[in-house]
Amino acid sequence: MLSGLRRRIEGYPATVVAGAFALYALIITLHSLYAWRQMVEDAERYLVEDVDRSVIELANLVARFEADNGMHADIYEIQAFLQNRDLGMSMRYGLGASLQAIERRFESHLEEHASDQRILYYASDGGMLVDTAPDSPVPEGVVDRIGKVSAGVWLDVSRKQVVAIRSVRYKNASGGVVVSIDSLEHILKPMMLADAKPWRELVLDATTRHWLIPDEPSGMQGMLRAIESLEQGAVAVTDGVLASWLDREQAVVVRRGVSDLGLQLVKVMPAELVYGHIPALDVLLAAAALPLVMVWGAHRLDRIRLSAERLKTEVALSNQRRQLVEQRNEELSQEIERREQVEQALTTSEERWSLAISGANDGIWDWRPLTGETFFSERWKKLLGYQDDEIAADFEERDRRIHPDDWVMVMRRMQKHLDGATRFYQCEYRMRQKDGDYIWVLERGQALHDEQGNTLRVTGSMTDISERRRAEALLEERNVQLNTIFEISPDGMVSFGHGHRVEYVNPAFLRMTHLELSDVRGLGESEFDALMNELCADGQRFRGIAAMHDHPLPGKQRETLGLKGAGERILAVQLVVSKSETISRILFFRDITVESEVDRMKSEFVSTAAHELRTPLASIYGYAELLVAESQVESRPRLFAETIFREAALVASIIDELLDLARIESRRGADFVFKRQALGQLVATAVAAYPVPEGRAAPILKSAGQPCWVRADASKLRQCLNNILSNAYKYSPAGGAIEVELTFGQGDCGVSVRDRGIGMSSEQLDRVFERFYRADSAGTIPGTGLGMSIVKEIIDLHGGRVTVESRMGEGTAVLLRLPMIDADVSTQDLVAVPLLSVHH
Amino acid sequence: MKVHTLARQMLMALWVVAMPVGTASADLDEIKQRGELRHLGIPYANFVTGAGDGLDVELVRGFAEHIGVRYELVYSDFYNVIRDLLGQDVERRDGEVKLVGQYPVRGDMIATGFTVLPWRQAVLLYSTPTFPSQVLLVAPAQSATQPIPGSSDLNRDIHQTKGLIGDQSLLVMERTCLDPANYGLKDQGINLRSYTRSTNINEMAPTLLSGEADLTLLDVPDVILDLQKWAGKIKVIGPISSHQDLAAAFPKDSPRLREAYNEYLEMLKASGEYRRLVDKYYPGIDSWFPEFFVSK
Repeated sequence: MLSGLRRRIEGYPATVVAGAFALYALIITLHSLYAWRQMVEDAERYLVEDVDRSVIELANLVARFEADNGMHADIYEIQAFLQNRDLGMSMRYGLGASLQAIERRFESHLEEHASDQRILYYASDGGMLVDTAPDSPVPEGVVDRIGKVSAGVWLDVSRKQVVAIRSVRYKNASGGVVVSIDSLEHILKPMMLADAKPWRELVLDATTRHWLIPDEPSGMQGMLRAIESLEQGAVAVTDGVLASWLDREQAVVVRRGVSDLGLQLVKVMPAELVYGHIPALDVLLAAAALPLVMVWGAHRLDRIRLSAERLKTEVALSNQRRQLVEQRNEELSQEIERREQVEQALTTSEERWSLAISGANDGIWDWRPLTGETFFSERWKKLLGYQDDEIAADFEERDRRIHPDDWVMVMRRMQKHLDGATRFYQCEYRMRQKDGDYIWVLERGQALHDEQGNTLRVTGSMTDISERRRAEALLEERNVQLNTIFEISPDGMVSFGHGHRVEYVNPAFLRMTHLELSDVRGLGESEFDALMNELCADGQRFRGIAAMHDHPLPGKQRETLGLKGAGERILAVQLVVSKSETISRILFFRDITVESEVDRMKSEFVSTAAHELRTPLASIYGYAELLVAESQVESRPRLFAETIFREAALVASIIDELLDLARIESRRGADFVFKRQALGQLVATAVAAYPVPEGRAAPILKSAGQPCWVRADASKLRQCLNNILSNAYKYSPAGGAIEVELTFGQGDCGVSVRDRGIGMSSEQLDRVFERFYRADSAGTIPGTGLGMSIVKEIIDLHGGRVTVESRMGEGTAVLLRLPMIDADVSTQDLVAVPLLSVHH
Repeated sequence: MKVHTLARQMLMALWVVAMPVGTASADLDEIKQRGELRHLGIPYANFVTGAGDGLDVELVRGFAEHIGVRYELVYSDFYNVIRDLLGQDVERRDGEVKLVGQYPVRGDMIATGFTVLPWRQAVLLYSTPTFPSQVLLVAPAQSATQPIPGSSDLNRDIHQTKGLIGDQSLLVMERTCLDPANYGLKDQGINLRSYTRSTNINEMAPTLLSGEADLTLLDVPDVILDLQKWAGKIKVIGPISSHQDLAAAFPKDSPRLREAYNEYLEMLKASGEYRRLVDKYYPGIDSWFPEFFVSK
């Protein structure tokens, strides 16, 4: 109500102000009316009071006159006179002077007050002693009162005089009386006004109605009657003779009696003098009306102002509207164009958004915590395998599908964001799908808060990140694998960051160089170069990374580096410039020591093979040449042919064994036919089939005592036995038995071939399996030097072992061991071989 | 009172010392030429009150102004006032009056309720009387001596009054108007008590009341004031002298000055100023000497 009132008031400020003023003025007017009445009453009261004051003043003047007379009676000079009189002084000598002094005192008083007063001093016997006006008659009653009254004052109406009498007190007796006589007019002079004043006061004798002061004006008949008609003390407004006396239309008259004197004081004042200060009632009423006029005027003014403002506003509004319309038309056109663009953009955006969401696999959610209102997009539901109508619009639907292990974390993240600790909400967790499986989702959102910090809504998206998670897992696994590979790689790797300092060194490098990680990490390229050079073997030098980058070796040449120290190594160094953001270069170090050795061995083998082949070929070529040269063939043609045949056979044997060895090495047993073999039987067959050299006894086969099954390629195994038996016979040229024995070990069984030959030294024994190595350094014992190499290859491919024990001059024992297999291996693979007799 | 009297005496002595010494009395012309009129006054009743005013003070001041010279009041006393005027002291012996000695003249005229006495007239010129006077016999109020009724016969009254003195002590002040020799009281077996503490006649009444004498002589101007001041305490017994005149006194060789003063007085009387001054300072004097003021 107050606001409505206030609105109403706001439009009429002048009216409000004028109304307030009018109200105020009305109050003032009422007050003024009351005050007017009061003023009239006050004026009349003041008038009456004034008259009363005049009466009092009149009485006071008379009283003062009487008091003065009393004062005269108390003068010192009278006392001195009386004392002097009592002392008996005569008038001639002293007393007369005292009287003179009294008279002088009286006269001084009269002179001082410029008074026409008369002062008399009578002796107590009535004898006149002092008279300031001895020529004037004494008023009546004076002498009569001597000795009868102590004090008093009366009016001598006939003479218009006031007479005061006062006894002189002298020694508790009367010392005479002092009488003062003065005209009433003179006494009342201080209060009586001259004719020049606008009002008049007159004093009448109440008893005789004698006009005392002033003199009765002539021509004012009936004035006394008019006065007498007035109520004592009342204020009367008259327009009669009294007003005429003042030459006014109206006069205000008040009549009051002066007690004790029998006087009446009448004050006649012009009405305007009494009421002149009081606004006329009609003026007040007019003044009262003025505020109302003001209110009306203010209201009108407000109305006009409001109208003007309204008109102005309307005009302004109209102009504004017109401008607005024009502007809006323009804006509309622009808006339309913009909207079309926006719509197009929106459409595109929506399409893009839909595509994006679809493409991004995102569901949208919107939650208003205060009201619980929740929105899940269709996509959101679909991500969880639900139809759109299968999930209610309740955020609980989401909460209850969170994986129990992720629930606490999800709630904390959300709460943290709602509390304002994070700018965005993001959380990856598992959500249960309709089918009960869990998918990984990335939930993102942002909350909107009000000024008090309350959360109004949280809106976000949910993305199925299961694939990503899997990819991350795979990537992690791959990283682990790569790290493992990197860690376990036999090749050394040193990576330099973009600061060209060592960032990473793998264990292989450290092994190769026998360095510690702290020795290498953080080194600059030049420092690394210096370190490597310190490791280089004599005559070796690391060119440096910069040289490798700037001046790479031509063709297929490799940077190699020979390191000194325990276990000399040869490293192949390769520099790879990385395109990674974190790695500038990578140095790869490959230990090619073995490779180099192999190459060296290959070279040596080729050299040896060539040398071995060259020798028989030289004989073949030589004898063949001799055959060609007819002069030599006729004498010994058979010798030459036998030699050629023998050497050719040797070449063929060498070539066969080389080919065999190469095949074995290349195929790595892929062409072997592994079957379940009874070792004993196989050995017996091979021993039985071995072509014993002429003049030598057959190998002695000792029984194993129990069957032994192995998985073996029978032909290869026989080849091994043949090679071993061949060596046994060749390296026991003095003869001796060759013993073949089956043996049993822990999980394996084997066969040993022992001879009593020339044996080998430990140095020869160490090289027994080297290709083309023959223990016969003289070269008298035929052979290719490949036999034991082949045996070892074959046995290695069988998963077995071959060991050689030998002593110089005592013979050699070669032991082949092969893993046993179970007896319940498929019989299809078995070859039944009767147990042979065994020579013990 | 005594302190006041002492102070007044000291003041008078100061004035006496301060006055230029050796300035001879002068007549009117010299005074006009000098531009200064020196008024010898003695604090006495209301003639010269001692407060710088008094009947004679105002008369002479007015006279100085009248003749156009500066007025100066020079205080003196009754013993030395003639000497201060003439520069010679007065010696009275066997009825003869002689001027003796040489003293500085301190004033040009005496106006101080100065009684016109025969022996003074022998050495001075008096102006027109300025005030009436009479010497009276005054007694304390409680004195058994009663005032005479008074008659129209002054001589009888004087005689009657003198007769009432008897063997009472009588306070007098020699060389003043209260000198008993003036009134045949000396060497008459009267117990005279001469007041010599000062020449201030105002002190006679209080001295009487202090009991230093039974009676006192007092002049009318003082009686007029004392009867007011000591009303009920003193009483006038009767006259001791006939009427006396008080006038201003001039040196014998200052006639023109006297003449000018007399003219001045006439002028004042004619204007009523004289009466005003008399009434001012001596109200009631008429009753004593009505004929004086009626004719004046």
